[in-house]
Amino acid sequence: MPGSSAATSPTGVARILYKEIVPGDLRKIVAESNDSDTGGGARDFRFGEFGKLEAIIRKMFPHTVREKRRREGRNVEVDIFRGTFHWNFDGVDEHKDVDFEPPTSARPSEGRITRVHEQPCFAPNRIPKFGEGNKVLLLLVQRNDGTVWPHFIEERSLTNPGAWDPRVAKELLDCIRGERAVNKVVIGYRDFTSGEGYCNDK
Amino acid sequence: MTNEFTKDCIEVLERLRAAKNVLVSGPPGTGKSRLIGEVGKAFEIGLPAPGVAAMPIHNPKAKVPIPPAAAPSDPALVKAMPCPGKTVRKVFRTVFHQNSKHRDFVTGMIPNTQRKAGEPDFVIIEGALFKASEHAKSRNGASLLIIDEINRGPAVQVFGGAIVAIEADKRLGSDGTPTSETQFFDVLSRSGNLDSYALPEDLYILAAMNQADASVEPLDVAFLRRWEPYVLDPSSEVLRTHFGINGSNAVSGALPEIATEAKHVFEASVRAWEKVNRRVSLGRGPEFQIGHGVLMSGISGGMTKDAALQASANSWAKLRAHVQEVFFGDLRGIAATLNAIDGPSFHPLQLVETSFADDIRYELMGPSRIGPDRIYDALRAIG
Repeated sequence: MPGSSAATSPTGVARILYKEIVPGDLRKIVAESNDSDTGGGARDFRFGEFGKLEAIIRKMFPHTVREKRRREGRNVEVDIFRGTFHWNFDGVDEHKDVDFEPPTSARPSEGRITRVHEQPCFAPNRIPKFGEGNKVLLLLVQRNDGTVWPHFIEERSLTNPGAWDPRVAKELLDCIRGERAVNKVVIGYRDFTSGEGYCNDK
Repeated sequence: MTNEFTKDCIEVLERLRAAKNVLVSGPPGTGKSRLIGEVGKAFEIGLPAPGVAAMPIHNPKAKVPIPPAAAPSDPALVKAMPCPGKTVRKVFRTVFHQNSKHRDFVTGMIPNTQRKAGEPDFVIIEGALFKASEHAKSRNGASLLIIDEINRGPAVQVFGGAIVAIEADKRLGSDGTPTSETQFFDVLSRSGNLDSYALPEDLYILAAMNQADASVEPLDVAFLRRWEPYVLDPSSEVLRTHFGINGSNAVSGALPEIATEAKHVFEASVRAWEKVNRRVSLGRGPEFQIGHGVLMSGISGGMTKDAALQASANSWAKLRAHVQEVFFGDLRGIAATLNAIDGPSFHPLQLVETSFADDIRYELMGPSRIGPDRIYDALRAIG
């Protein structure tokens, strides 16, 4: 959806939300995933610790729409959070609406960005290569103008002196290097307007 | 990053800091929109404290999305920045138009088009001024409200009771409490009541207008005196710098009869534009001049001569349309501005006298659009 997108001029960052991307997520983007560890065949990016992230997710996906879903064998209406992703590949501003679904009873702590394989900003060729000591994160940046910009970033670039804003690099590296359960991925946020932050249960 | 801010930007920031409300005006094409955009960017980035910008900066076109925000080394910027200690800085933008209303700018009621059972028929909306004010009242908050085309809408009505309250000395004190001079006005609150309201210290308002535009609303003196003016003038220097025809590449003396390089075309264009503006100033008034921006679109230094001729033909078609608008109904005024009354023989345009029903009539003979093949002759003739 090219055209009337947010201006790409440098603008202050209000908040960031980040989540580690694992090989299963990559398979979701290319619509090949069917492994239960990553949420079965659904083409979703899952965000654990939803309760801790909900406030910031509501800021990034500010609209609420009611949609019908099947839950525990019954048809129910659930509130879906809707926002817009903006991106600029090769100098072209583009944007597309995106939905974030709250947890289900089967996975009560996980929210999900849905239908990721339909998001052009998640094009597989935009994802850096995984590797030992080089985690890949999905970084959602909400600017002061309210627009949300997704980026895939790699751990290696964060240690490159002078490449990143030092506050952002420290935030992300501290979380990547922090303690967490072996089955947990890196996940956290920082709100630069309020100073609040979160990283893997801390 | 901050070192790239222009002198105009620094001066406007300085005036915002001192007077809180600044009105940028100037003929079309003098860079008003560019300037207010630049001021917005500078305001939002703020100053480093200490060593880095107040907030991280997102740059989608950079190698990484949030690169380091360079500390400003320009002491003038440090001196000019409004409320440098406030770190949660936000820019709000709006554009006035003929249908702008007080309710769209401050607060008001609109029909509840998404009404569900049990909900009221009307909802309260908050406009750009109210939102910017509320943000500036928040902890560490500072707002810059940008109003483009302020005289394209009924500005006095749109501001309503806020007109006095915007004055620098009529705001709330720095601690957010009223002073003896704080001016209150009524706003429709979220509860539907009329509440007394005053504007905070760190709300800054930057407006832009084009005085010569015939379709605009007049602004009364009482309104205008609440703004610090900042006037942008057409600038030959900006044009010559943009074309790369200054310094050692400048063209001095008479222009050659036949352009052999792009710089001859550019210099002819600048000289002709200067003469047109001089004649427009005399014939209609300085506010009806045309800014340098009209000649800059699609043109850059390093062009070939043929590309320069084509681009100049395009620019001058727009410039001629401006002259025709300014002197609408006055063919002699148009012709005089384009030097087509007894102009040089190589001028593609000539005003000729003819008659209609025994009355004298005038006709501007020549192509309705001067192409790249004749544009250099035209520019030499006009200038």
